[in-house]
Amino acid sequence: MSLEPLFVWLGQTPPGVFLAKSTAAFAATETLHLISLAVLAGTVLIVDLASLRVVFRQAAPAEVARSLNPVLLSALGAIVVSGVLLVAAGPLKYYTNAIFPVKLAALAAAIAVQVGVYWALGRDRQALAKSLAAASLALWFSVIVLGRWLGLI
Amino acid sequence: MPMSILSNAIHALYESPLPTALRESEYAFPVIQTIHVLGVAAMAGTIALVDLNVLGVVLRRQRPARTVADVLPITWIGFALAILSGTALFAAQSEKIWGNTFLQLKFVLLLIAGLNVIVFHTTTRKTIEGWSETVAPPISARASAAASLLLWALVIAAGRYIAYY
Repeated sequence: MSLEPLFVWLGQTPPGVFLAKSTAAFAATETLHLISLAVLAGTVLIVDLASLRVVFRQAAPAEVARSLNPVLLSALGAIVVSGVLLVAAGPLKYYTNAIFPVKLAALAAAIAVQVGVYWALGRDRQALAKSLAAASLALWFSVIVLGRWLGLI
Repeated sequence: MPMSILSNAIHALYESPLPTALRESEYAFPVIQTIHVLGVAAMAGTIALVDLNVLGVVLRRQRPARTVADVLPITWIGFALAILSGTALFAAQSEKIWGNTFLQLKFVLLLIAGLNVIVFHTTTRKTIEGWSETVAPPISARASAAASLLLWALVIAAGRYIAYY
């Protein structure tokens, strides 16, 4: 099954057509993507480093993670929505990009591992939380690097 | 003429060996751009969390004084990465982009955001230790935090628009 029709359809939606035409709106969408990236990265850093007992050592990691959960989810929502809009502005460029599916796979893995960090913290499985937090940091780092490089090939 | 001194300096910077090598390298430029994104994310992300903590949005059981102390090393590492990579990216393209409106806007916004940081660390942070967990931070601190969120968002926006105008 080819996903090409899905990408073509995305490009024909009103936001896709609009963003393909407007440089200012496209740059604004990129800006939203980058601001969400900063907030998401900062939150993930704190949650993971707290789980690894590197920062916030006087607080319970589960407490830190729970308190930051709304920020993490808001930033993730904004980054996914702005990301889909950026793809809609030039979908075939992404459909044929060799790095794009790798980035999406790394993103899916990063989200799954982050859910795992929360799961482990919630059940007080501290050793597991530490391993998953380290994996989460590596995965989110890859997502950012891949995201920068897919625009260059 | 101060303007020609500036343009001569920019020209000398642009033609100097390191910026020239960077401009002509196939990989160095995107690698430094990637470092810039990572540095900005670490810096702006942790600053945003401190601001949201001062505003009482997140980490309500954690006092802002502790949050600042905890995240500051990450903020500094992000700042160092962002400023070094940003200087390199600017130097490599300086002659082409120093007249760019959004670049100039970004410099002004960075200056204001930097002053806001200095105000925060010289005045607010001195009183921060006395803030209790039940009473909200003073209005001046909350105003500074809100200004910080807005300013860093605008810095990121101006940075992104440089490429298009």
